[in-house]
Amino acid sequence: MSEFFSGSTDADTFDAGMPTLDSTERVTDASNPRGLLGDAWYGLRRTWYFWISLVLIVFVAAISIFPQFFADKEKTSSLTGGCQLMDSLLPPSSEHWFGTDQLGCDVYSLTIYGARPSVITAIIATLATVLIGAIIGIVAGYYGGWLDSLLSRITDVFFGLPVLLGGIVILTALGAPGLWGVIFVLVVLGWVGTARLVRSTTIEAKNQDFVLAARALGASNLRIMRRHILPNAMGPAIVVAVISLGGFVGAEATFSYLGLGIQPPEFSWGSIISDAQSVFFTAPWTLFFPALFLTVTVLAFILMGDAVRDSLDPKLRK
Amino acid sequence: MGRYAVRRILQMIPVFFGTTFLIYAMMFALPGDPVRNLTVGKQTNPVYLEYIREQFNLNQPFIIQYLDYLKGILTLDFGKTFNGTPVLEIFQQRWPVSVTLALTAFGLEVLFGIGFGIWAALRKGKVFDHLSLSGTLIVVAVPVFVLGYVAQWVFGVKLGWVAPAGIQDGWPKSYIVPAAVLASLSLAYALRLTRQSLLEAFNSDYVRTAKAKGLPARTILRRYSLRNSLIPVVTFLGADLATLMGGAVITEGIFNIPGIGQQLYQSIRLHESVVVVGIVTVLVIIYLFANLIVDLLYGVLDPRIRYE
Repeated sequence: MSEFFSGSTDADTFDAGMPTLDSTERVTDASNPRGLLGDAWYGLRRTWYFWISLVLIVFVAAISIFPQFFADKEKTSSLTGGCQLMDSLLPPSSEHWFGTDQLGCDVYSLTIYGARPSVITAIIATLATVLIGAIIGIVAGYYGGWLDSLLSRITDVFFGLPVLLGGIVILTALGAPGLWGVIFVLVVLGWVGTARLVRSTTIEAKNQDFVLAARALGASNLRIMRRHILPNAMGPAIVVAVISLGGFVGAEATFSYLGLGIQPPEFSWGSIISDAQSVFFTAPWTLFFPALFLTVTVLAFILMGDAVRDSLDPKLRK
Repeated sequence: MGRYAVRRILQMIPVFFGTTFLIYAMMFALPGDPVRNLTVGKQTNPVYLEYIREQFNLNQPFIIQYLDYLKGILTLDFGKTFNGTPVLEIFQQRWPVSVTLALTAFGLEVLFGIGFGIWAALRKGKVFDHLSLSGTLIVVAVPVFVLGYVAQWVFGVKLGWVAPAGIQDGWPKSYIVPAAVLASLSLAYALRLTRQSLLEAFNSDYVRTAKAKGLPARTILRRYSLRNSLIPVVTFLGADLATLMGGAVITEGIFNIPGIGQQLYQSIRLHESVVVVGIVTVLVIIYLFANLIVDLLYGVLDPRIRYE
């Protein structure tokens, strides 16, 4: 913070006045506001599970972006001769760390290469749901009246559709078109939660004094929404976004497990688990390792969401 | 409260139409001609195909078909499948199984969710509290189909306590493991919710007052802390019961339980839109009414809440 204020005499006296300020002490002086994100980062650094989830997420990101550094794509397909039927259902060994599946493919390589589709689906679906949900929520909450009634009823319709049920129907109707179908379903059925959340924070924020002040100063609706309402709604929306990343990873796996998501020859954790179900009783490793990676990924995003929520919500901070 | 209930029911009407319309439209958009699908690979008299289309109203425009369908529902006529079985008959076979499963799961959820939640709150920071918190976190993260297979393998195959699949052993033996799998996610939420709201109540002024009056700890828990902190839990459970009824597609599939979820999945695969729309319609109605009851329950449980 001292470099931020360097050159200013005010800051010099401020620094001189607080010689024993160390990093563990909370800075509450109004002359040094950290802002929303700075505040969140301050809280995050002190949460142990933030670091654990960060390490896990970085790992998952690494195997999604560069699977070739970790495993061999050859060993995931019979077409390239990487899987030999004589290697079928071998238990874990030094050659096949996670064993082999029915076709003799290396489960370790399958698991590493199965990460990318789940992660890509989750990221795109999260960005789209947050964007759509935030826009609809702010418009409905800010303008109110008939527009709010209309948008709220539409929200209710989608809220009445369970994601799994609606997803199965839509994906079957589309003829199971693969990953894009899953992303489409997750966005169409998933924006509702964010919209409701943003709407309620908007309604809360729009009657506050700072919004009235801004309006009295002649600010346009668009400016009020962007500069005053949005920052207030952002905190909860970020939390929902991080948690839904985990939820969408699980959802992609569920649809692929049901055969409605990713289509062969491509594969993801969900479809690997689905293929493993027939041999699971005799070769549990075929299901265990992809399921472990899937679970740990979801867990990492949930923990990260918890950490972000705790650090963004001043009411929870001690 | 009466006026509030009436207004809420009126608001449910557009939601009901919207949801059923959406599902009906989606089933209508399913690729392929349903009549042609029935006669794959066979030479069929076109007059006969025309007859079937006429009989099932398939020649009418979409909107007429939809309105016709709604008219049937009002008289509890959910239509017939193409092989002539009334959908209502399928319901009569399938719903009892799913309701049994859902209620068993619900029982586990109430018993262990609330019970362990209270215990964890009373032992805050102790071993059981940490165990339950990390345990629930893992349950939330494990996808239900993984949990289902693991439970089936452990209890059905390794330990051999129950048959791995099917309902031939009746209740409770055949239902307990699938119900536990079905309940696991909501149980975890219920546990965390109970613990959290109970801890909030422990810090409240009225509990401090009760303590200062010298009331025994048991009385404070029962009459003061629990009563207030269970309000969010009860409302969560209420909404969840509806979800349990329809959310068993995967669990019923893994454990081969002939309930509504399995029927739904099969019917979607077979493009039997009458059955799909029927099931989803009933589920939506259950869901809407569960939410209404929950909202009304708020006011009964917490007299401070007033309906406009």
